[in-house]
Formats: sequence, C-alpha cells, structure tokens
Amino acid sequence: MRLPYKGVCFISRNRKGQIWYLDVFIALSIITLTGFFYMQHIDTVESPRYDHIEKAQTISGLLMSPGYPLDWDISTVTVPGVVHDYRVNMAKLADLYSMSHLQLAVLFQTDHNIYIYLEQDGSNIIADDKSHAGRLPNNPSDVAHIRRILLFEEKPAIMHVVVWS
Amino acid sequence: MIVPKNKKGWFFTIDALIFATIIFTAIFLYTYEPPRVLHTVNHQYLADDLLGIMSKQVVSDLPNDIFEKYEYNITDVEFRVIEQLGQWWANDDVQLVHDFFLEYTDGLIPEQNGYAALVNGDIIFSSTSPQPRQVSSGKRIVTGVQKLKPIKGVVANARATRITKNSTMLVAMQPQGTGWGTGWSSMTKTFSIPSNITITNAEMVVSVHTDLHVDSRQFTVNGCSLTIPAADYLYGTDGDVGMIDITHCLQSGDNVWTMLLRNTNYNAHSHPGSYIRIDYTREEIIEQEILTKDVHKRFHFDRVESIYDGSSATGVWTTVPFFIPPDADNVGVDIYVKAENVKDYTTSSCSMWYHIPSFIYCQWFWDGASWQLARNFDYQMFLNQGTAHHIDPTPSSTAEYYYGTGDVGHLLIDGTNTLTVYFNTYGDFAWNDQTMWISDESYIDLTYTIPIDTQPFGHVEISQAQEFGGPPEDDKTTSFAFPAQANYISDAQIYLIQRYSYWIDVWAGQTNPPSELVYTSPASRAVPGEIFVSRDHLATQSTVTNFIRVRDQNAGNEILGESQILYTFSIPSQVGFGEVFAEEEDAVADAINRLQDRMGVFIDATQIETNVNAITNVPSLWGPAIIEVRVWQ
Repeated sequence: MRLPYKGVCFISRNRKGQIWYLDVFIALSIITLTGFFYMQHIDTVESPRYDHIEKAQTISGLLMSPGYPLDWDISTVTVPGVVHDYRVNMAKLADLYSMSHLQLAVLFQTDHNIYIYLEQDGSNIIADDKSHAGRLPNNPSDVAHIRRILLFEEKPAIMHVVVWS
Repeated sequence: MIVPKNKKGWFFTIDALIFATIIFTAIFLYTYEPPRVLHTVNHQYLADDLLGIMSKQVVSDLPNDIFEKYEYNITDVEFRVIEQLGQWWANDDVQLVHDFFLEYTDGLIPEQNGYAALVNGDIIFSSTSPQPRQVSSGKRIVTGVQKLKPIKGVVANARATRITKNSTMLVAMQPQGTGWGTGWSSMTKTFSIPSNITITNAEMVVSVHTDLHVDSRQFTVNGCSLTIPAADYLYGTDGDVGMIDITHCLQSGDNVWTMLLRNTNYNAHSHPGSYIRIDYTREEIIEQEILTKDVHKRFHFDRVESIYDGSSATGVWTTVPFFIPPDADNVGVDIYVKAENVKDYTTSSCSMWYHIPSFIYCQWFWDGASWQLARNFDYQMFLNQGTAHHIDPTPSSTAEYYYGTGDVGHLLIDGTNTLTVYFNTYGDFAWNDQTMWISDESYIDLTYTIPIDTQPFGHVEISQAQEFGGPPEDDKTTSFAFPAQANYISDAQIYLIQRYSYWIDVWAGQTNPPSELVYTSPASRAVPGEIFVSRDHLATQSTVTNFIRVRDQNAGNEILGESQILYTFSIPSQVGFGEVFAEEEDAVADAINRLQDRMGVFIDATQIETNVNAITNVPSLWGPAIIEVRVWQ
C-alpha cells in the first residue's frame, strides 16, 4: 500500500522549513522519559540503605579491635573483637564463628542479617572447622559489604563483613 | 498498513511495533534490580588497613616466599615493613620498592578498585585501572629516612690537636717618669714572649716627653740599640711619637725593653702610647683543658730609674693598670711597692713649715726666683681616686709597702683599675738628689673566682689588633666586629697613643656614638697605657659593630689614629659529628673540612684527631618521610 504522501515525507515540498509529525514526537518523548526514569532507578538501587552501611562499618570496627573484655570468651564477651595489632586471634575467631545468628545480632545490636568471614589467598580461613559467622546472603534486597585488611599468621588477609536484608 | 486479506484478526503497523517494543523494554528495566553490593565505603578502610599492617609487621615475620625473595635487599630484619619501604625509597631503589609492594598487596584490593603508594609524593606503585572517580587516602609518618640519605653509616667529628695560629700581642710601657733637668730617666720593662712562635712583624711605638737633643731618647730591646731618626717623629716637638721596626730584636722567652730619656728643660717621662706590637704565628698543642674557677694574676711594675748626674733632681713615678672582670667573685688583691734610695726630704730637710690651709707645706726649694712649696709627702699612692690613699712623709731609703684586700679592697672597681705611686715627686718642682728607682719586684697580685661556664673549652684564643685609624683627634671613635667564627670573646684592651694626655674618658657600645662610660681617669694625668673594656660591653656577633669612643677632656690632647684596640676571641678547635656517610673516609673528610671552615684564616690545623661512630636506627636522623596509600574506585 502506498502511504499518503504527507505521511512519509518530513519536508513539505511547497515549504522551505522542517516539520515534525505527531507520531515521531510521541516516540521520542517515550524514549526520553523511559531513559530518565531508568537512570533514576539505577541510582537508587546501587546504594544500600544507609543503616546497612553504618552497621557494617560499626561491626567491622569492633571486629578489628581486641574486643571486651580483652581476654573475652564465649561466656564473657560483650564486644566480640578478634584482632589485636592487625593480627587475628584464632581463639576469638573460633568463638565468633561459633556464635548463633541471634547472639551476633544481640552483640552487634542489629536486626539485620550479618555474614562474616576471613579470606586469604582466595580461601576462607577456617577456625574450629567453621568458615564464617552469621548467615550467608540469600536473595538479599539490600547488602552492605566492607573489606578490612589484617594479618593472619603474619600474612595479609581480608575480613569480609556483610550486612544484608 | 499491512492487512492480511484472508484474516479478520489483529494487525500490526510498523509504528505500533516500535511503540510496543519501547514500552516493554521500559517496564523490564524499571522492574529489574541489580544486586545491592556496596563498594564505595571500602576506600578509606582499605587504605588505612594496608598502612596498618605494614606498620605492625616486622620484616623478619614476612611470609617465607616474600622474605626469601628479598632477603638480600633487606636492610634490617627488625625493621617494620613500612620502614623497609622507606629505606628502599631513600636508597632510590625504585623498582625494588615497586615489586615488593605489588607482591605484598597481591589480592588484597578488589579488582574494581585501583590503588597506589607514595613516599613523600614520589609514586612508588600505582594501578593502571580503573580511572579514579572517588579516592581515599591514608598516611603514615616514617622517621629516620630521607631520600639519598643512608640511615646506616658513619659520622665523624674532628679536633685539632696541633695548630698554627696568627695572633697579636701588645706590651705597654706605662706612663711614668723620673728625673729633672740633666738627670736621666731610665725605664725597664721585662716581658715574656711565648716559645714556639714565629714573629712576622714587630713594631715599637714610643710616646715620650724629652728635650730635643739627639741623645735624649735612647731605646733598646734585648740590647738591640734602636734610634728613631728625628725626621721620623710625628711632631718634632718635645712631646712626640715615634715608631720603629724591631722584628729582628725580639726573642722567645724573656725580653728586656729599656727607655733612657732626658729632659734638661723639664722632667723626662713617657706618655700613653709607648708599646710594642708583635704579630706572630705560633704552633700550639691543644690538650684537654682542666677548667679552673680560681684565677690568679700578677702584674709586675716596670723598673723606673731616675739617674742623678750630680746636679739634677731625681724622683720616680709610675702608673699600673689592672683589670677585674665584672663577673669575678671573691676578689682579693695584694699590692707590693718597693723603691730604692728614697729620701725623706719633707721632714728632714725642710727649712720652714707652712700650714695652708689644711695641709702642711714645706718651703725648701729656691728655683732662682722664688721659694717652692711641697706637701709633706715623700711617697704617695693613688688607687682609682683623685686623692692619695696612702702617704708617707718619712720613708726609709728602701721603701716597701704592702696593701692587702682589707686595706684597699673597698677601692677596687670592676673593669680598669689604676694604681699610681710617686716617690720624691712633688708636683713639677721638687726631687731627690741621688739615683733612685721603683723596683720591678713590685707587683699587684690579683685573685678572683669566675664562673666556669664563661671559660672556653676546646677553643683556640686569638688576639687581633686594629688601629683606630683616621687623623689625630681629641675625641675619637673607632669600630670593630668580631669574626663570624668567634663564639667566645674576652675583654678588649685599648692602647692609646697621645703626644700629651690629661684626663681620658672611654665609652663602648653598639651605637654610634657609644653610650656606656667604661673608664674615666681617677685624676688628672692619670692615663694608663692600656685600658680594658669588659666583654659585657661588647657584642660577639659578627654582624654587630662595636664602637669605642675615647676623649681627652683637655682639648688639643689628640689621640692618634695609630692607637690600637686589641680584641681577643676564641674559635672552637673542634667540630661535632656531622652528616651520615656511607663510607668512613667521606665522614672524616667532611669533619676535617668543617673544622677548617670553622677555624678560618686565623688557624691552620697541622694535626687533627678524628673520631668515627657507626650510626644506625636513629629515628631522628633524617626525615620524616610520609608514606601514603591511595585507594580509589
């Protein structure tokens, strides 16, 4: 079918200027609006909620300390720090790994999920046969992840602290 | 528009297809949520933690694979990792520090982050990707390292143990006098010149008051007869000043300087300005000095002899200055005055006594026109006062007088003290009738204690003489500055040259004209041959000018430009430990160079002792350097 002459031609033959047709205008408007809203949406989803970030920072800071009491164990702990002079205390790490999720939530005073593990040369550091503390993230909607660098057996290692919900 | 001819169902137009695609794409994208993983808050932690572990870990605890690889490059296994990095950077081992840092941090920084390490702004390692959008930085200070400065090495100090110094000494013949008429006035000064010196120049300056006969001014030094041609005297008058080179006459040890003067029209005497200036170089062995708080100095009188020729009158007088530092404590003085052939005239030979008004005068001398009067004093002693402290109208032929601190201590002053004694002199009119003299056994013993911290230690003392310069003036100012190397100064001495003198005032200070009066004659004609200026009135700094102003209160009594100021200072004969050098010979050479720079033109060190110390692990030695780790996304 042959389209009407005026439907395919953007330039009127009997006019010297350029003209726009309604459907072209609508299409461009839709594309522009879609792009705009998408970009806004992307900015929103890449930043976890601030309380997740703040909690992850707090927990990582506590973990990088010797904790309290300084010689705490599972029965006396009030602040579960596991690091002294940037070096991991394996006994304290084992105690940390043995804590239930509820204990962690109480000690770190959060209702978010916590996941803590140490990594060296691509492998998790094992303490008393345990490789982590807390819950592994499972289809999270918000995640804050902080890495801290420390020494394990006099070799640099990484502590991962994940707060998620 | 596309319309299937045999169907009644739905249809698409190309416009509708495009529209629908856009709508569905938008709905999909809006509803899709990528995983919410946080990266940005890691930056600061990663930078700080990386610096933290490097600050805590000792090199000997490094993982075996890293330690073995860098074992031969490690400076000290007790260093922290961050100190070792700083040391390699200081040694400019750029590749080494890059490789180590890369290996040490392998796997610690997520791939989506970049990072870099810097020392004092020098990039020692940097990731090439990603491009930085957000950057965090952590810093640590490392003391004891500085680029191209070894932190292990040697330092050296140096001490001159044998030196040759250029210095100057002046020996003054004090203003003094004797006989009247045809009798001769003989003055003898004995002085010592240190051993091991080489005299580069010596000059005798005389300021005398005699008649103009060619034989009335006779001088010797060590028997070396010195005649100053009449044409070489400055004025050609009875009071005159002359100079002559005496380099060839002097010797190490005791030297004897005599002046034989006569004034047939008046009385013969010396004026301020009779001195010998000796420029010399001297070799000294510098030994460890034992500081003493107690100072004992003895000032001997010159032998002053008035020679009787059968018709002349005789009598002797002399002036002796001595110096007490302002910071001296427990000052004690013993004065011994001895003269021979003194005559008791005023008591035994007086023909008639007058009481005018409070003194007793004797009428006993007919000068051809009238009877002259004299006080009843055959001996007078003045100390810093215009009135006599002690008189003796009946002296023994061998007259001896002792004065202790209890007698004259209250008359002593800080600075220049002036002692004057007269035997058988009564103004200008009356004299003895036999040869007599003041013995050079006479002395002033001075004792005092001085704070130890004002005593130089490990220093070489240098004296430099400087002429006042300029034309003769009765109010004259000169200036001088100590050299930059001087770090301890002694009191300065002024040696005035005057054809005639009456009453001298001296000011010192750092303004022109100087404002601090440091000396004034205690009486008319009491002008010593040397006047001391305490170092309290002088500035040590080479950038500060010291001004000295001298004025004779009798206008016309000019002070000659050849007058001297002798200032003494000390230059350290040692330098402390300097920079750290990798090689011992470099440290020693540096110490010797620093010592020679400090000694300047005044001292030539002919023997130098050096000490070398190994230096390591001194945190304050260099630096500090700032080590920085940057992490970015």
